[in-house]
Amino acid sequence: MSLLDVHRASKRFGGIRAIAGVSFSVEPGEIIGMIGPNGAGKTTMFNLITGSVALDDGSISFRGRKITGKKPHQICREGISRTFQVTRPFGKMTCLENVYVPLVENRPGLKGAARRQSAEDLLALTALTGKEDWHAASLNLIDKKRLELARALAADPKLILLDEVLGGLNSVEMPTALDLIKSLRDRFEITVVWIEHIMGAIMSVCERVIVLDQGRLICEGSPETVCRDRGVIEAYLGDQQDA
Amino acid sequence: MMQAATVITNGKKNAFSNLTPWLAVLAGFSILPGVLGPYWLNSAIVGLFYVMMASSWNLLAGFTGQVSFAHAAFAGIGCYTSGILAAKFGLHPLLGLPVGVALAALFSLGLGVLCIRMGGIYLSLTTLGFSEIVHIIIQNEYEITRGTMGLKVPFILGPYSKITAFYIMLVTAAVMVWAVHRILTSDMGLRFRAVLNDETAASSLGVPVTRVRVTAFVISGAMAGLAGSLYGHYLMLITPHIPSLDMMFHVLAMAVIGGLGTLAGPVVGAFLLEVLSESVRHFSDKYHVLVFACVALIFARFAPQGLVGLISACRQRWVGKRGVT
Repeated sequence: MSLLDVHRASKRFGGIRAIAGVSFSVEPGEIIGMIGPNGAGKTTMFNLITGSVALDDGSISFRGRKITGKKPHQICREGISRTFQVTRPFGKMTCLENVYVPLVENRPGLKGAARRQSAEDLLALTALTGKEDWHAASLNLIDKKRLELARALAADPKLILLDEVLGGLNSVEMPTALDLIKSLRDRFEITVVWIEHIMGAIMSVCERVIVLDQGRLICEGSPETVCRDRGVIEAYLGDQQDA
Repeated sequence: MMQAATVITNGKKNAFSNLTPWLAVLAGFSILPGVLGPYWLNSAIVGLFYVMMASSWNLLAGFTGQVSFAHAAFAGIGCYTSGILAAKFGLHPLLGLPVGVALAALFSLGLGVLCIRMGGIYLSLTTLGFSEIVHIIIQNEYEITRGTMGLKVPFILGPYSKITAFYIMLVTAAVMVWAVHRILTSDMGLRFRAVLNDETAASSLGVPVTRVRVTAFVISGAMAGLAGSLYGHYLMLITPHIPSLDMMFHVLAMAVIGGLGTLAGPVVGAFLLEVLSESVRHFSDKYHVLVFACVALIFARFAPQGLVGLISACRQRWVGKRGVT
């Protein structure tokens, strides 16, 4: 049984078909890359899966149960959490409190010192140690992205949706971040769907890549297959005959 | 520099973690009846009523971002419920009180559920409409409420005494502020703040936003009902002034001038404005609205964080300077 099953998902915004009949599935333990040019519908796909935008057509199931029509907080409790491309920290709360929020909702048994320990561990994992008591609004962009990840992990997910978490990292920080993403599966047994523009990063970590273009799934397969695919090259570079 | 300052203010020091100033204020207040004459003792009691109103409104507006204008209406529902039960059916005020609170909570549940799909200005407008409806009904149902003539109701407890009233109000206000603090430092308070900070992020992390917002609405409405009910039985004559927009804006000004989203803000604001309005009334009855408006304007322009925000900013600057030299 697939972990996540997206079946003929469609979404229109006015006259624009943001997602047009996309189907794919995610197996437990995978790290899947989701790529595509700007406006391809990648983030919309995440919004559909997490319920923050309602599907027009099609259905989505998670662990064999239909989650179409459920509210975002219910889907989160089912075991799907996400980060936001445009970071959404609880600005006037400390980093520690930011992580407490999902802990309170998803791991209610965790209280007092145990909760604090758990939150500190997550902040340490995302290299935010020492900033526990900072207001999230005072963090720089990279740290805000780290906080996004720490929060999403605190929701105790089976499946995590990462939306461009690497943006802004330098060449020294990049390998650490990639190791962290790999460790999500290896250490925490979390399945990952990952939107990223940095191709090298996707190639080195993902076994399977899904390519979206103008709301359609145009290619799916190993990174090597996808890179050689004519449709994908055209989507990124434009039709060669035009040139 | 900025970050250093942030670290200082973030360091776990919630307003209540330092209990001493609160106990000092409480102790100071408890000797007031021995110090003040009956005129200013009345002001102190009215001030305590406003502390309850502003603190409970702050819980809703300051900590979940729902600017409701129905708070005075809930106070009105509380005071007219226990007032009518006492005046018409002879029920003891202390028994009528919980009924008033329950009814205020019930109405806030209904209004909260109705308003939940709305945010911002729409919620404010709907609650404004509700408030006017309550005001008009109470004013016109003369047979039951005696309209603008006012309804005579018995005193809270035993024979009339300002001192009794003062202590009852003081204890209730203290318990209410403490309860607000407990709610804010609980898991529920964490949810409130998460919803206030970013609704989308909160719901994506498992926070049931709708339920959290309605909960805040009901708790705050019930508190207003309690405040209104006690106040009515102190005044012994309840009028449609309690559930009026006049009252509502008074409470709003207190919370905002004191400092929205802080625990001490509404307490400070309530007393400051009560004392101010009484002092101005000494000179003339006409000017206190003018003075009020000017103070509100000055704060809105120069200290949008309110008095408490202003004080902590000054303190931070002072601490920062000392740290450098």
